[in-house]
Amino acid sequence: MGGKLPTQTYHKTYKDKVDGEFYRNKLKLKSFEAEKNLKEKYPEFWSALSEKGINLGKIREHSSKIISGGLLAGTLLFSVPDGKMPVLPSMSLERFKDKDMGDSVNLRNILVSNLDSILPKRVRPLMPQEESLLEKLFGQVLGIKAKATLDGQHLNTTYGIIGIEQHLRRFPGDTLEKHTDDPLVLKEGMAPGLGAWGYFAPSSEKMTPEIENIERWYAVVQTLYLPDWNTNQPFLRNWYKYRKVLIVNTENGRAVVASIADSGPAAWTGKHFGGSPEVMNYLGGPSYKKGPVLLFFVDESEGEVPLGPVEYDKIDLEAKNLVKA
Amino acid sequence: MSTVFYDRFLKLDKLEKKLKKVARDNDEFSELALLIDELIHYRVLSSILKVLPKEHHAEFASLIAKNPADEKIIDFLKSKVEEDVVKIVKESVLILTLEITGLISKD
Repeated sequence: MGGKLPTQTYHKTYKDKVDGEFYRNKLKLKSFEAEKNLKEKYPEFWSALSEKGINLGKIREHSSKIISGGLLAGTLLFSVPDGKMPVLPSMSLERFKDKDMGDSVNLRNILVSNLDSILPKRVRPLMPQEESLLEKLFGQVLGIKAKATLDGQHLNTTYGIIGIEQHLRRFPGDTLEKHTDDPLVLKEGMAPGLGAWGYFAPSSEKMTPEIENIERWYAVVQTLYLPDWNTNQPFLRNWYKYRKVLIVNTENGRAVVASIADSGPAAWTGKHFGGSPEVMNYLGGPSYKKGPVLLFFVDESEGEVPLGPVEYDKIDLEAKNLVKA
Repeated sequence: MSTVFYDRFLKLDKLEKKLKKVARDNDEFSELALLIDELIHYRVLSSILKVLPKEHHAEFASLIAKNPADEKIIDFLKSKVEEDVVKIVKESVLILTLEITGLISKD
């Protein structure tokens, strides 16, 4: 007879609890030792920063406050080549017209060409002026109202590296095979834990096509680094849950509307966002594992925006402020 | 913003995967990730201070206080440190990663 007796299940619970505490305690001890070492060896350096209220272990929080403050004040914190802010370049479809290609390809060319001239060479938090240009660009080329700041919320960065994530368990007993038949999508496997908001549905019976779509097109953002994440609860948790975002691959112009369903990645991975296997497959193809993207909140105040790929061939050119050939 | 001037030298994807396996839920993952973050800051800064001549420590501190995300700090360090400071940062992160991975794998 397999399995454990009900009286033995506490063994696993106890082991999990001990493991969590064990790692936390070990890491805390290591951190304490490293802090002590730094403080004792370089007391002047330590004091110089402590006097300004800076805790070196929480340097990211300090950075966050500095940049948020700079963004609010419109201060130039990062160097812009030749000191000038870019302007929105040509929106003329004529300029990008290639007779051998359809309007959808031309639209994508317009987007990529404009992104090239607006974005810095290396990913970094963007200045408000840069974000404002991008908002205009997304509105005009993609027809999507996307905002870097929505309802006062702004992510730690809107321009960063996205990495591929695994599938999330949607309900108790969910398996990888229940997600899709597509081997390309299945190969990423299932995440060991649940998403930041737990199961998407309490049971398989409660699953709906809408819920399936949320997991299929999910995004991961670094809510753990929001300066007020721990102090402004449950508001922030609710605000970010399944919040729609526009993700644009800055190298090829492919775009997806996704919903935030998990928190991460850790800053020390060198990544800033995550995307479901479907999101990543659409943004860059089957071998795309990470790359630079823009991620803005979708403003649905003027109408619902569906989750999934932004299909250029379905964009109504007449509705855009483009100069049509 | 969650950016520090040496962020681009941190690419610890594998460590994150291991952490996700040991964390019981997202809150615990976040807590452990932040602890590792702290540890990285202490270790990386110690490794830099070790090779940066003492007379430049005050300026280094003021640059960090002004904007820890400014990548020009790396340029400042390169101009003051004789050794390859990027290599030193990467080595310190590698050693720490091995220590943490060893710790997490011990069960």
